[in-house]
Amino acid sequence: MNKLFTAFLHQFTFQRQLRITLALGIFLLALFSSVVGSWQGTEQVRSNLLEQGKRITENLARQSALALIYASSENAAEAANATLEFPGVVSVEIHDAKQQVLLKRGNADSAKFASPVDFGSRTDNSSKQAVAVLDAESADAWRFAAPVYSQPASSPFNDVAAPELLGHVTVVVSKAALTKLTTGIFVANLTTSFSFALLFLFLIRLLSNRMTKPLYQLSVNMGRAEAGESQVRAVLSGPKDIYDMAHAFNSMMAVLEERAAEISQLNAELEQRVAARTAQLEAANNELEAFSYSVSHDLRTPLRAIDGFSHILLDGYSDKLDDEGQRLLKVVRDNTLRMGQLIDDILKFSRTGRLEINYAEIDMERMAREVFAELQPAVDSSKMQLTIEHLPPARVDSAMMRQVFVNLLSNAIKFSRISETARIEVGGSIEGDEAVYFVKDNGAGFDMQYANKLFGVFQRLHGVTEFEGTGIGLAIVKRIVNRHGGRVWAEGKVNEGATIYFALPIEEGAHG
Amino acid sequence: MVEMMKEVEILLVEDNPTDAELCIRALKKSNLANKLVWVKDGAEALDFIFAQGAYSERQVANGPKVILLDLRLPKVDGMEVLRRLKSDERTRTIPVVVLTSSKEDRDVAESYMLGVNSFISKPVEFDEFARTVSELGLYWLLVNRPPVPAK
Repeated sequence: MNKLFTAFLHQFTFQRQLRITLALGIFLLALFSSVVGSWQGTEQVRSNLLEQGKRITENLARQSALALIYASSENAAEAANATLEFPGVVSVEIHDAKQQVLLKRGNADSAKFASPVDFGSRTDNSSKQAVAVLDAESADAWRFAAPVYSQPASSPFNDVAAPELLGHVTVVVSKAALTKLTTGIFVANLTTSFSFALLFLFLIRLLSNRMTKPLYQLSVNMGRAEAGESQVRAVLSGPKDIYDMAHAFNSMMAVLEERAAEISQLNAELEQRVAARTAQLEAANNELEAFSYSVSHDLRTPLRAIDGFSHILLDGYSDKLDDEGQRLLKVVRDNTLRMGQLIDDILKFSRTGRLEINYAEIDMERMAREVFAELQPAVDSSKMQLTIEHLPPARVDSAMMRQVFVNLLSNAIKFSRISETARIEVGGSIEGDEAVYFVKDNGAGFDMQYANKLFGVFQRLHGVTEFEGTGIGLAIVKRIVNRHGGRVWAEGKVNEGATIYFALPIEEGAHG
Repeated sequence: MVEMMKEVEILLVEDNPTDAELCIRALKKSNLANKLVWVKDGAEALDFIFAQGAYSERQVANGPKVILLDLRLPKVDGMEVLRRLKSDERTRTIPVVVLTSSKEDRDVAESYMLGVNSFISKPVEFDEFARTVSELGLYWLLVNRPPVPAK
């Protein structure tokens, strides 16, 4: 019930709620006050009329004494007629002591009284005076009755005789005057009350407008501000509390706008900085590209000359060089070739960092098998056992992932050359949110205390004469895996083999 | 000299004298260097091909049978030489082999876009280099059949 009422109130504005409540209250008040006022008035008029009726009846009783003594109705006729002249008097009756009608004037039939005139009760009147009483009352009339006593003679010659009951008079007075007056009072009261009520309502309307108009304006302004309009300010008007509210709103808007300006300025600065940094990065990238271009072109040219002319020397002047001379020239040529290989490798490494990654769903198992098949011609297959387990697929760059397998498998083949039977194992599984792969061999292995050096550029844990290579292979593997958001690590033991692990994230959107 | 200018089989455009010497040596071994002209930059190459400047006595129509072109050249670079050659009707049919130290994919792609006939990265090792150069000389001068020049 309470909830229903609250919901009902929510449909109306504060102003309307106020008006409805006040209007209802004032009209009830007006109605109540006019009812009470007219009731009070009616009581007053009623008691006046009763008093008047009694006095008229007593007068008539006094004037009827002679007529009753002489049993002459003519004697009382004048008094009865005079009584009938009073407003509201409907009928007059005079009875003698034997309760016989002496005189009857007016029309008493219209007033229907429940009981006949009770004369007995009047005779007990101990004061023996003509005191009128309200004998009976009906819906539209009153009946007054008074006993008539003989007048005590005031003559000094006679003894004072006791007054004797001569008869009774009854006067019927209509209530029409009272009803009319009552209605008049009620109407007048009601009219006055409603007039005041209307006036009051009009004033309240003015007042509530004065209060709610600024509130309404404020809510409109808030709506505009919420919609994103700037420079919205409330007009400072209305009663003090509303004025304060508008002022608070204005201060809040000013602060908000200040903040927004600050934020947009910060954003602009940030964007500017990002643009500047991007330009710097682009410049650095271009420089790096130009650098690697130079390296690839210019460093190779002198190497070719060294190798070429050493060759020509060996070819055309062999008769003038002894064995040691020829060996020294061969060392020169070997190192030239090695230098060429280093240049190729470092270029490859730097390219791995720059190339864009093209993600595709790759069957890792199939890729491992294909790469191994490509590498096999260089291997005596009778001395090699390869196990490739089921590998979970991955979303990676095909060319880069192929390079990872090439490097890991060729390493495994290279380092397990020393074993009687080389065993190479490729495996993988899903672990948490990563796909973990490994390539394991039973070859030369490594000391775990150098494990962190394994993935460094040009880091080698074996002599050049023992195993060929520049030491770039695992560095490239690490760079490729890192660029895919993954990680690499290794486990091994000297002369027992090595296992290289790499893990790739598998959740969607993890790749930068 | 004038005699040699009449018929030129190979135009070698190479700024590095040692590379040029190695190249000429390799060709000599296969007897392909008799009718070879060596120019040292892109501008000279264009003068020779379009018979202008120092080579104004030449005829454009007497073009070389093959041009061995390095990419990094002084004055006018190899790409520009290639672009000018392939956009001129008189010289468009001359086979051009880019012979460079570069292994950059970008260079390879751009060269082919401009209409190069072959792209070769010079190997560092001399034996391989010599073999490559003599093979390409044999191919373009003896195996390949060029269009009959319109006279």
